[in-house]
Amino acid sequence: MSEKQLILVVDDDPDLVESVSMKLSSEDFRVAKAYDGIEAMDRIKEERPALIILDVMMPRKNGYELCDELKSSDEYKDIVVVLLTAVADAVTSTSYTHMDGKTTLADDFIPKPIDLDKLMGIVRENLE
Amino acid sequence: MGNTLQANGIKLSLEMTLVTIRVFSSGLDPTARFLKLMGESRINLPFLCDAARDTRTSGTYCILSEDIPRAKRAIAGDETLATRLKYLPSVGSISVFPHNFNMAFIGAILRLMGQSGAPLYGLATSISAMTMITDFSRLKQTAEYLTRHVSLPGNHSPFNPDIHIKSM
Repeated sequence: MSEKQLILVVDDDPDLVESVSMKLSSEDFRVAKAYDGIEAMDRIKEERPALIILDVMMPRKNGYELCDELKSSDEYKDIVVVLLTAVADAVTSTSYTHMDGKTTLADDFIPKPIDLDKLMGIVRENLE
Repeated sequence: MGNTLQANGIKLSLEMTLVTIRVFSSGLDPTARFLKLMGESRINLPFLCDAARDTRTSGTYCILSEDIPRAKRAIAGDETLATRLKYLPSVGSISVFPHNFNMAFIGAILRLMGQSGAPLYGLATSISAMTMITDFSRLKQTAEYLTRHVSLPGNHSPFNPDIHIKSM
């Protein structure tokens, strides 16, 4: 039997982290949680997730900064990053899309409020 | 008490005002009207708790202090509603998460709140957090008391919000 894949959920809203985590667990994934970019980097170093569901707007280190850090790192660039964006921030492309002076190399994105079924589709598609 | 409680984080709110609506069975429940007015005025309610006992209901809601003048203006047009509301200024919320649906954890945090001496004006749980309303002036002191008994990750997120999203 193959080992369950680990997904890291990162958002400063604990309720969002919990609801996404519960959905992922029910879909047979292992889940790690973090509440800002700094905590997330700790979890990444400790547990090396296969995919990160990453909020953009967070204290200390935001999602763009963490995404850039991961994608410019030889060690972590292969980890799939799915950005959570507010509707107004929704990106039309995830390959170096320019938005508000930020660039991102995220693999995919999903706008908030999150459709959990759609998110599961994005997760599975990106892990294939 | 030993340092046995585990949590991932604590969050403190900005300064808020607690709004209470008390309704008796003989009266028309103005809660829906209150919520409609707040929605129309795009006033966020960071805390919302409804309770019922026998034929009485009560609702407690928090509004950011900076939004109170707008909230009062919205309510002023409804005299019936305005007379049903009580305001308690300068409160704040302290949220501890996750509770993992563990009643023993929730009970232990409540006991700590009691031991800290902080007044408790409201309590609610969400899918992840338990949130308590107390005096804004005691918020940091209460959080410090809790951290003496609750183990948090070494690099946990800061307690105070440094991002404030406002719906306009």
